[in-house]
Amino acid sequence: MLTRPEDLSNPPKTGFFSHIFQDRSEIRVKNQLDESEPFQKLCEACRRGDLKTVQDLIVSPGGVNLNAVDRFDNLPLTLASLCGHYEVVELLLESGAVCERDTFQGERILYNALNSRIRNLLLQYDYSQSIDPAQPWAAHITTLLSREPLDTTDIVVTATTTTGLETAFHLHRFMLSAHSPYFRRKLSLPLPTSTNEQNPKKTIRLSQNFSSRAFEAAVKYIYLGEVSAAPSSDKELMANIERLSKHLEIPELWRLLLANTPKLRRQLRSEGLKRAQERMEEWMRENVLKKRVVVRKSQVGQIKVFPGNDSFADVLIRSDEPDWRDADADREAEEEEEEEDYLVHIYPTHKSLLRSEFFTAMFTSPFLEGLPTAPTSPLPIIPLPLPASTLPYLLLHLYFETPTPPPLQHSLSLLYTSDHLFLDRLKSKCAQVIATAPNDLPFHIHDVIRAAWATRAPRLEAFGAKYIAERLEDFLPDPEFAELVAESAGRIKGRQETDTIELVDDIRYYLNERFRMRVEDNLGFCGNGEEVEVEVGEVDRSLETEKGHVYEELLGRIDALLEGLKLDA
Amino acid sequence: MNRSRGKIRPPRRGLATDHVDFDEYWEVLAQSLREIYAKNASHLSFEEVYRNAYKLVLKKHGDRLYGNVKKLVGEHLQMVAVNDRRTVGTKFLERLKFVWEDHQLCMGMMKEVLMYMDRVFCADHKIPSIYVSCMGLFRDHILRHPEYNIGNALNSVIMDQIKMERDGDIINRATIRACVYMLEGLYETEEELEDQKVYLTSFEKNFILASEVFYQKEGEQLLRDCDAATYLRKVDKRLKEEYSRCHDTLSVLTEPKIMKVVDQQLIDANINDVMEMEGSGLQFMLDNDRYEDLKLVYELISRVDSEKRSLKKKMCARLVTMGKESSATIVSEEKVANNITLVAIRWVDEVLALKDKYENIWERSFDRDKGIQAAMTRAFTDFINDFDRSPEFISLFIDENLRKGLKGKTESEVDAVLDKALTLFRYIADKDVFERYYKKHLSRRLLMNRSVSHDAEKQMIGKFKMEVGFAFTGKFEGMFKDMNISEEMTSEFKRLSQESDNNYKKGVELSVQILTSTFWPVGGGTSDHPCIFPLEIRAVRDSFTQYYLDRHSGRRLDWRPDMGTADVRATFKGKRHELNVTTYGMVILMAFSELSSGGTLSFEEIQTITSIPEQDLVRNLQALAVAPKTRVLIKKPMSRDIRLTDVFAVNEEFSSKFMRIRIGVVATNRAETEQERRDTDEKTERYRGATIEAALVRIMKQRKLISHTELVNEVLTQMASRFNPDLTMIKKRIESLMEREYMERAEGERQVYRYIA
Repeated sequence: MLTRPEDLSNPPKTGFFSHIFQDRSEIRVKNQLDESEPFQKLCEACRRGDLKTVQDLIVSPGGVNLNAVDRFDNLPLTLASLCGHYEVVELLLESGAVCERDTFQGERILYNALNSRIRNLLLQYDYSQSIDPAQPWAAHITTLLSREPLDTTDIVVTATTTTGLETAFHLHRFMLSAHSPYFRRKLSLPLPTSTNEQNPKKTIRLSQNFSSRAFEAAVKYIYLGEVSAAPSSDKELMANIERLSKHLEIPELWRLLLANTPKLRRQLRSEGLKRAQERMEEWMRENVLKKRVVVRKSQVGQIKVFPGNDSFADVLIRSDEPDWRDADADREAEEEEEEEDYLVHIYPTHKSLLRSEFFTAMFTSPFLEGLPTAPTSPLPIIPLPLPASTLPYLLLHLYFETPTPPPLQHSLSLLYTSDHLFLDRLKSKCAQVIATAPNDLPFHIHDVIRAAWATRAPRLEAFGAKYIAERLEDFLPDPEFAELVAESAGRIKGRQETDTIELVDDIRYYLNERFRMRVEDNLGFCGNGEEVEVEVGEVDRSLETEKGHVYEELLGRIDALLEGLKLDA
Repeated sequence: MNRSRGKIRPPRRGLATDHVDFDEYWEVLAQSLREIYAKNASHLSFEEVYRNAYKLVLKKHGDRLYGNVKKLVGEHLQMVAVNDRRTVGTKFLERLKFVWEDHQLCMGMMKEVLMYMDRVFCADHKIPSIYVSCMGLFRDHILRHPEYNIGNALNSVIMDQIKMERDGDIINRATIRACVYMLEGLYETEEELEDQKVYLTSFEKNFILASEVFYQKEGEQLLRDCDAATYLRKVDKRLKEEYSRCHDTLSVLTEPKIMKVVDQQLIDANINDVMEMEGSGLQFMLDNDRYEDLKLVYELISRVDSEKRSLKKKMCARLVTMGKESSATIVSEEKVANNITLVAIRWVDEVLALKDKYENIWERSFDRDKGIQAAMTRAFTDFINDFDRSPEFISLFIDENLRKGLKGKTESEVDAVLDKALTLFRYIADKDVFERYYKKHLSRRLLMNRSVSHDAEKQMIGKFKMEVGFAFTGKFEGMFKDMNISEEMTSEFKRLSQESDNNYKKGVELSVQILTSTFWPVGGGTSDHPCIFPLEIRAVRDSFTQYYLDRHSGRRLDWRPDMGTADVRATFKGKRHELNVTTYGMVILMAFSELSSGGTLSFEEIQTITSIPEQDLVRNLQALAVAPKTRVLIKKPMSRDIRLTDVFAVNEEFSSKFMRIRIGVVATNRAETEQERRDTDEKTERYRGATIEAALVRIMKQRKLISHTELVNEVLTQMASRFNPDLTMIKKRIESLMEREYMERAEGERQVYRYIA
């Protein structure tokens, strides 16, 4: 057998993996213009309703892109349904042509369909998938194979091609371990250390029973790429993949390849994504969360974890803030927190899953953290400014984009952290959790408002104003509230006399809402416009009701407060 | 109060309310940034530096942080500027490159640790990111340093280097490239507008100006020192150099601009002078087929003028001169040479050679440019029409080929020759004149049965038809039709005669060619060609006349003894010969056959017996009595000329080894004599007048009311494929039609005509 060492040590960075990344977005992004001869034939056949030609073209060796457009922007599906060829439409849909509602092309196909029989058929195959929240995570996993901008792979699996050459797959041990029970067992055993100085990555060789193309399919599957059986793929390869999927104990791969309708494939794929998330969760709870180390802050320096650890971790993350405590529980405990030497939690983690520009910049920078780790030196420990008990929720988000929202009590802390690390999705999740919280907040509303300002979360700002408006009587005497108002006023740079104070405006608005309800009915017709609504819904001050009285009084007290602050609004 | 107060928890520790002392944090941060400058980043923790900056921004110290970073960077740059002010030349470039790359590297690192400030503070306040604004600092503190003015120094160093390279030295392109990259990476303002690159605003302008001066001088010098070909090659080389300079040394942004400079200074300004260079200019290149040089001329001119006007003009002028020259030589030769046909063929060959030559140039050097092709066509048209013999000559050329030249040639060769003729035909403006000549030549070929191949004839006519349409070839085709009908009639007449007369075989065998007089260029009727036929002949003639008029009543049949031929059997010294003579010849010989042996006839007697016109008689007698090989008559006195006083007798001593002897009449020159030409011209004029009148009436009939200009234009378009009508002629025809009351001026409107039905 021929081996080409240079192939292993210096594998192509984009090589055969490159097309994986196109697959995923291809269909959804934009229908490509295709002027190739087969495609033109296909369009012509769709016009004429030539079922046989369409069939032949679809199964032809080169294949033909069913979701491309001709130079008049027509999809084959558009043509077939416009010309009323039911069978052709059915064949196209069966073969993977996409008709998505809420897209220009999709709506156009539906609108153009010659009769309702065809329209119903199209609707049956409608593929208007709401954006899967796990998509960004899946996309990230797929890009790991490109090893750009940061190469985090830590194992090389070599497989033999049909021509007897060796292909090297640069992969992540934690990915293999998480997704294939076979690899989990295999990787838990100590591996022979690589003798190659320049390439310290461990290398294992795949049994020669399996071809590199079969393994490529498995890798794509594990890394959540698009795997589909090309109609041309030979029986031998298919048999090989079948055996491999049993060997690696990933039977879903084989099931996915067997799926013969696009609909079924889509279904399996989305189920597969869910299962991948579950497996990742299971694995990371076992190998990351459970492997945490708890020490006093002063002892952090003594914790040393080396490359080659059981979790395959390549970086450690630690909490760098005293833990959040229930204030009601113990005043003294709070005092104790003042103490510098609080407990910190350290987790073994993987650079590749710290999905944030912050970390990418850090690990690719020429700073300390960006230096390559020697196999013999301990892994760097990165402190993150959040309490120990909050840290796992950050990791859950990063590792598999957990659909479970973080607990309310950790949300404020996470809100800051996600802002700090540019994790926008986590940030809005946190804001969502706080803004929909039941009445008793575990933290002071002033802090929520300040956090909203600091992290630029308008939704939370509004929530805070509403929260205060509903309990204004309680806040008015509080000097801290006056401070908050002053802060809000200060937020507008070079403030003019006549400028408004946002917070006060918001409070007034929600105060109005609070007292408005009853009056509305009397006023009858309401316009559609928001402005009109506010006007119409204005509290009728002239009514000498109890409500009106309270409302008047509260407004007066706000003005008084502002006067006290020498503010005018 | 306590109701809700109880639920409100103490503030989160750490961030929200912690007091952050700016100076304290900044001091740490500043130290870290200095470490970055000192290349000690690997000892710094990214997380720590980042968190420091993060806290300052979170605590609303963004503006101070931003300002302080700028100040720190500015101070550093000023220090760098002071250190670097003394380097010169390439060292200077290298040093600057190093400083710039270092700045970029450090700024890249700072940008990353200050990412939170960029994202939050800068975005909120809509100010440029710290990276952008520090690039601006580099521009202001290094390049535009008020004392050292490094930017200007840089410009002049780069320009010196380029000057050196243009003069043939080797320079370090990579270093310059690096400095240009720097200029390209810097902008005048922090909006970083693409057209506000420092490269464009401060360097490129000067560079272009300097280049203009350089190339202006170079252009003048080259014009003085080089011949045309060298000049062109030098320019081409310069263009390539500038191209590669823009791609390897400077910026591609400059490419179009510098190219324009070269185009203007070296091409536009001088190309006319270059083309006119004595002994090496355009004329020399054209005459000597310098394809490479011409290609360069073409390419360079295309750069400055997409129409290539000057090239076209000069080339056409040369072409016309050449054409006219050859016409002039031919005309002068014609006076000496007596075979006009040869002269005509020479002329056609020369024109064709000229065409081939220029077509070759066009193909190989001018990139098959459509505009140039059109100009060439115009030039050919010009000089061919300028030469008034061209229609005749071209027709003669075809005649010669159809008579002799095409013998034994393959179909494709024939086609090629015919196509050549056709290309020349296309250039002729007065197609009617050509038609007249062609008709004449064709009729002679047909009647004398001289044509090599009827297929070739038909092919030629087919080509004409494709070119100018049916109207043009109608008469030619009519001539062919006549020939066919005649054949049929001859055989039918023969059949009928045999049936009615058993003795037919002993009589005269008649073969007729009946010509429709409008198709054929034969003027006059019987009266113009008087001839008294011998009795036997007369009988046959009358019998045929009877036969013909029976079949076609209302036609007139004229006999043309001047055009036919006859086979006559004669016995000399016991040997029988068959003499092929003209009809007149036959009549003359018949007159002798009635004489007793040894009898004589004088010229006048012959004339009385036959009443053949004197001129024809002279020519025929010349053939019979003077030409040495066919001397069946003898003449007294023996001389070359025929005089009215000569006496003729049968030459009993005549002998020939051939059984069949052709006695041709001394042909009138196939090319025209002066007299004939004048006749032809006159005929042409008459014919044109009639054609124009016909067109006028056709148009008037259709339009009823038409303005003068419209009418004239309409006539011009209708006549275009036949000839170029003279405007005065059209006017005259209009006048004449008005006189004859075919049309009139519309009342009140001077320029409008009305048709009178």
